[in-house]
Amino acid sequence: MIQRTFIALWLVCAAGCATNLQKADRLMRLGRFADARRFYQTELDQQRRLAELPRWTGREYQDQFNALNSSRAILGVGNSHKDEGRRDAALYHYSYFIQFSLRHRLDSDREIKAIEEWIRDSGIAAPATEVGLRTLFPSTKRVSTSAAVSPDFKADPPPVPPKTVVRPQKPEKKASTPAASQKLARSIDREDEKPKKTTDEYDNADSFVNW
Amino acid sequence: MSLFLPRRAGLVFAVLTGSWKRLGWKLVVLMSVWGSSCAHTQPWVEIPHFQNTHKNYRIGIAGVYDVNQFDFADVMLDEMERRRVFSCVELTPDLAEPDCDYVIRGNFGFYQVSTKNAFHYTSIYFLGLPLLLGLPNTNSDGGMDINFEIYHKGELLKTYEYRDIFRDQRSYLTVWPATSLDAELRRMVHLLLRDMWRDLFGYRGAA
Repeated sequence: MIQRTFIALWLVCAAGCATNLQKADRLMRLGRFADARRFYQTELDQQRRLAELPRWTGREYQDQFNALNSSRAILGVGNSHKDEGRRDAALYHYSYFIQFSLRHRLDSDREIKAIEEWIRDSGIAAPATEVGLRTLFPSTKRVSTSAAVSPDFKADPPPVPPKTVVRPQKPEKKASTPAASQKLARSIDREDEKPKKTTDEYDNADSFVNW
Repeated sequence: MSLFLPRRAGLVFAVLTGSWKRLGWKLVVLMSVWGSSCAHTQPWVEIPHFQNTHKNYRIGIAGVYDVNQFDFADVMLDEMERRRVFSCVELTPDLAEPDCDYVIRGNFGFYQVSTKNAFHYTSIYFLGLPLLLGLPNTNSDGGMDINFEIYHKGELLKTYEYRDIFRDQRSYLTVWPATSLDAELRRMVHLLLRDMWRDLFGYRGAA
C-alpha cells in the first residue's frame, strides 16, 4: 500500500512537472501575463547560457541550445507585453523574434503573419530600422551610413524621394509603317512633357515604389 | 595558560605569538594573490566622474546581439541605468526613434575556456586538501570582440570597436566573481561611455 502510494506520488510529480514553456503557455491562457513572462524569460536565460558552451563532436562545434524553444520564448515575451498593452516592448521583442528566426532559418511564417496583422490593426507607424520589423515595413526612410556628425549638428529633414512612378509596360503594337514604329518607340509622358523618353529609358530608370 | 608558564617562557610565547600573527597575515596576502590573478587587455573605466556632467540625453538601445543572435541589451540597459550617465535609457527596435537622441546597436562575439590545472588533479590524490590552501586550480582564457554603432536620428554617427582578451586564475577560496560574459559586456559598456563622452559630448576628462 505504501509502495503504491509512493509510486502514485512519484508519477503525479513526474507528470505534473512541465517545462518552462508549457508552464508559461498555461499561464498565458489563464491571463497571468507577468508570471508567464517570467517563465518565458527563464527559458530564454537557460538557452542563452547553453549557447555559450558549444560542444566539440570530433568534427565540428555543435551548439547545445534549442533554437526553436528560444524563439518560442522570445515570442512569448512579446505576446505577454502585447496582451498587457505595452506596445513598445512588444514591438521590440517581435523585432528580436524575427531576427532570431531569420538567423536560425526557422519556419515562422505563421507567427510573422500574426505580428503583421497586429501591427496593421493597431496602426503602429513604420519603424526605420533595417532589420527585424523592416521585413514587414519596407520603409521609405532609409538608414544612411554617413560620416561622423557633430552632436550640435541640426539634422535636415529627410529628403523627399523623387516622384518617379513605375509605369506598366504597354503591350507592343505591330507597326504598319516605319513612321508609326518611331512614334511607338517614343511614348510621351503627358505629366512632364519635356524629356521624350523611350520605353527603354522607363525600364532602366531608378524608381521608388511608395507602399 | 600563560599564568602557569615561567616569565621567560611567557616572553618567548608572546614573541612567538606575534611572529605567528605576522606569518599568518603574510600567508593570507599570498593566498589572495595566488588565488585571484586576472589580466585584461582593456581597462576597467570608472564612471563616477561622469556624474556631474551635463547629461540630458535620451538613449535608445536597439539590441546587443551575440553570434547566435541572442540579445543582451538588458545587460547594457542595466549598466547604463546603474551608472546614471543619461537622463533616460530605453529599448527600441527603431534606429531612428524620434524620442531618442542617440540609438545604439551592438554585435559581439565572446568565448571563454576554463581548464583545471595539474595542481587540481594532484590534489585529488590528497583528498582535495591542498585546494584549501587557496592556490589557483582553474585557469580561464577568453576574449570578447564587440562593435557598437551610434545612430543619430537614423544616420550612422560613429562605430566603436573594442577587443578584450583576458586570462583569469581562480582558486576555491577566491571570493569575488569570476570573469563572465556579463562582466565583460559591462566592461565594454564602460569603454563605450568613456569614448562617447569624449567624442560626442566633448567631455575631455573622460579620456
